[in-house]
Amino acid sequence: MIVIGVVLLWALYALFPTIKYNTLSGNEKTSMEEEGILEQLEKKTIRRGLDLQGGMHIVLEVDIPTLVENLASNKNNRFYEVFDKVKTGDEMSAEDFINQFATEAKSQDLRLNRYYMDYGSDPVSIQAALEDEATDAINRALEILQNRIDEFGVSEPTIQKQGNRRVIVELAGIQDPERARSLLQSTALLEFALLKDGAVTQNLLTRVDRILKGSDDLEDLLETKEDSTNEEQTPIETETRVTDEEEVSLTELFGTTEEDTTAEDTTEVLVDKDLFEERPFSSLLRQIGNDLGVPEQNMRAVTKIMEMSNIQDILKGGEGRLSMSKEKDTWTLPEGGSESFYRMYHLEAEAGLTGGVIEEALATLYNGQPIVTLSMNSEGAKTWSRMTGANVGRRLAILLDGNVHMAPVIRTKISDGQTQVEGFANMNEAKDIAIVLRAGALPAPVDIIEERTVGPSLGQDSIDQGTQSIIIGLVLVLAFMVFYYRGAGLIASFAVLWNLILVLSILAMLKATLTLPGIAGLILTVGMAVDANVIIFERIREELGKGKTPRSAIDSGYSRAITTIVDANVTTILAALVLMQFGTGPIRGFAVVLFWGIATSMFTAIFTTRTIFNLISAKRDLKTLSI
Amino acid sequence: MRFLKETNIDFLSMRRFGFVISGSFILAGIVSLLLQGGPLLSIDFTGGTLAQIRFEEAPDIAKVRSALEALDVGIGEVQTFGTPNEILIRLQLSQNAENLTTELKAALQAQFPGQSIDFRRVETVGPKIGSELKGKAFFAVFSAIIGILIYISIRFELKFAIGAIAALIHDVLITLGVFSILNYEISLAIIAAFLTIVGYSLNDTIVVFDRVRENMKLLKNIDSETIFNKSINESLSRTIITSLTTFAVVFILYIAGGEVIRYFAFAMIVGVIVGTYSSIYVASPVVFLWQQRMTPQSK
Repeated sequence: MIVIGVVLLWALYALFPTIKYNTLSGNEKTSMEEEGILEQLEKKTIRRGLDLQGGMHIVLEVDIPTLVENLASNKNNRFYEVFDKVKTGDEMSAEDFINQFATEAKSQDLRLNRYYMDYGSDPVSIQAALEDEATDAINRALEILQNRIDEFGVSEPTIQKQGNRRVIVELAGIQDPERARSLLQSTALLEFALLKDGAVTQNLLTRVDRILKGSDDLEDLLETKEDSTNEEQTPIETETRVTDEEEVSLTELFGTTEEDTTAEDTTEVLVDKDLFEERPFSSLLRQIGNDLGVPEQNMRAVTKIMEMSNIQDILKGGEGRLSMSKEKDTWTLPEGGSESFYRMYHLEAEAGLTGGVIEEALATLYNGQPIVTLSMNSEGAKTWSRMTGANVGRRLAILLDGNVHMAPVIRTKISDGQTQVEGFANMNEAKDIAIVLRAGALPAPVDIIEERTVGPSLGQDSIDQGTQSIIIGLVLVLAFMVFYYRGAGLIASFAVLWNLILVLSILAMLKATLTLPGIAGLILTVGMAVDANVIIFERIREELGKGKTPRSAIDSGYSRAITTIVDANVTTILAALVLMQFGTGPIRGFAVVLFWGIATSMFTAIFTTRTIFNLISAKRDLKTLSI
Repeated sequence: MRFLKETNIDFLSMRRFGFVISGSFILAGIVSLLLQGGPLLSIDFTGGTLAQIRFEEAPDIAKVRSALEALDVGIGEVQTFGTPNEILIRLQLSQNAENLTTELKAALQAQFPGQSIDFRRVETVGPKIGSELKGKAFFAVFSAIIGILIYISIRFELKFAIGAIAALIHDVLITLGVFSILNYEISLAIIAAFLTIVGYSLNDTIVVFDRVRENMKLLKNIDSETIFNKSINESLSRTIITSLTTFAVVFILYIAGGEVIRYFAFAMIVGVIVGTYSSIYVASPVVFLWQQRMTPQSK
């Protein structure tokens, strides 16, 4: 009796916050919210999962290969040979990249200390150092993501590490998944890089042209092109096309552009045929003032060429890099009409200064344009001052995540460590960039490898339908129990209700999250919770059938039923435990509910209903039992 | 009241009949699985994108398809989901999945101008995660079975464990077969349902076994066929009542719980029916036959 009393008291205590919260009216909640008590109370109640309140579940993976690539200095073709081979292999396997890379380097006789001299002198210590860097990168990424999300302002975000390379982020009630995604994924790599001299750029273009001209790829492409030019007399094509015998379409060469589906007149890449054969790369570009422009329609083709491995080899071989402007511009064509284009910049391979030195970043409006003003720490200011001082008159590009935001001419030495970045589409973007710059750059890019977004409307539907199902199920099961077992059925009904509330309050105490599968688990609990009672009642009936008095029938019924109940439920509990280990998110929610549902139903049947039976049978000398 | 007074059905003599029924169900399922090259896996395991989209008025599926084709995002599958206003799009993994939602939204909006289009659910799973989950799911089901085998071997005897495992493999195979025949997808939630079925099926089986164990102690001189039959009959009304209440709640979940957990509920319905059946017609006969085969040898 003492045990039962204690357990009952504990159960009542466990029930208290949930009951209190659930009995609150809307007005009371509002007033409590003002006093700040509501939040406290809410913490003790059950949290709703993302699938019920709407939100975003994202699994990010830190891009270790890129980290390893970034840490290396003096990278040459030999390095990329090994690196690319391992990287391609890593796409599918979850194996540790660094280990594979070290093994491959060893088998190919690539001397790692040439590239990682700051990280050790022998392969073993370099590998260990890289592993440390990777671990550190994930921990920093976790911290930085935490900071970004905190500043973004989402209520109760969940950010946790999963395994060695992954971070799980859960954002409740996100309205703009796109924005959240770019906020998380942006490496916020800010770079200041000097532009190469115009003559050098011209050289590079000529070299690229020369390589492409002799290339087999291009001849194949040209053949396809001629075929398709001849065949393409279909009315649909000619409608949207400025047909000119000397001009050829590049759409076929490089696949359809993204604009195909939306824009109408800009689908064709127009280029002079002879010129294209002679100078395959530079003929796709335009000279616009001092800059090179890539017409929007040609972007796909230009990007394709730049991704070709032999072109990559040239660029990686120390020729600097070609970067595009983030925003597109329009210019008026000499022959009339206008054209959208991106600017292309030829930059020094190594950035003179990166965003690590940023101390403060603020988004403001300047002349109606959103800009981000930056202030650097003393070290950064020093480098910045030296860099600007030594290159007055040259142009400098400011890049964010590889896109050039602006490329002004350095007019004078800047010694106060201040600068501003422009080129944002709108104020929100500038704000987000300021957030990520303040929070710091990610040590390596992060890839989104899993993303689940549930809109708030679906969540509400799920809650409504789930609640409805529970109520219908409950009514049905309780009605049946009372109908079938009469008085004892009432006790069982009480047990089922009690059980449901107990599970909910345990969830609240554990700060567990209720998900849609969790609701399914609750419903299942309603159905299965009667089982223990049924086993007991059937036993009692049997004992009564043998002619025992109610009192002894209850006693022996209970004592015999207990082993059965325990044995039968342990298996389901085992299954639930496995599910808890295996599952993430919603599935875990289901397992947790199932586990506690069964555990409490055993407890309820064995202790709670027993107490009620005992009270009834002790009160008077029972002749008959309503069962 | 009471459905069943003292029943005395000779369940064990019907075991051949039961084996034929079970056998043909399992065979049909396996044939279907073989023909389709394994179970139909959802994007949870294959990787890909799933989008649940609600339109203001019922959309023309053909128009949705052509919008998808124009996007060039790989092979897609479009179907209505629950109400005619709502559709489900499944896409294989594609390279430009990054801005898929935005592009899809724009493309659909262009196809259905003036309608408000609500993306109620978008799930994207990368190929790496997919293959990992596949391994994990397999491991989970496997380790649950092993754990249960160990538990039953400790609490009962090995022969009971074998009977229980036979029953639960029977249940999972049939449910898997039914899913394959109906062309339903196996998702993470369905794996959870499978594990619950495993637990539930055993729950039923063990209640019967418990009786068998008890009766074996009480009635030492009676042959085991009678003991098995007596035990099944004694626990029959409990089996039926619990199965009924459980069936009732999962059935309600199926019809009222909403589209998202409908397949989960369906798996549970199949599991409850098959689990109840197997505890009577599969688990006990297997133990009985095992015992018959082992006893003469030991004597």
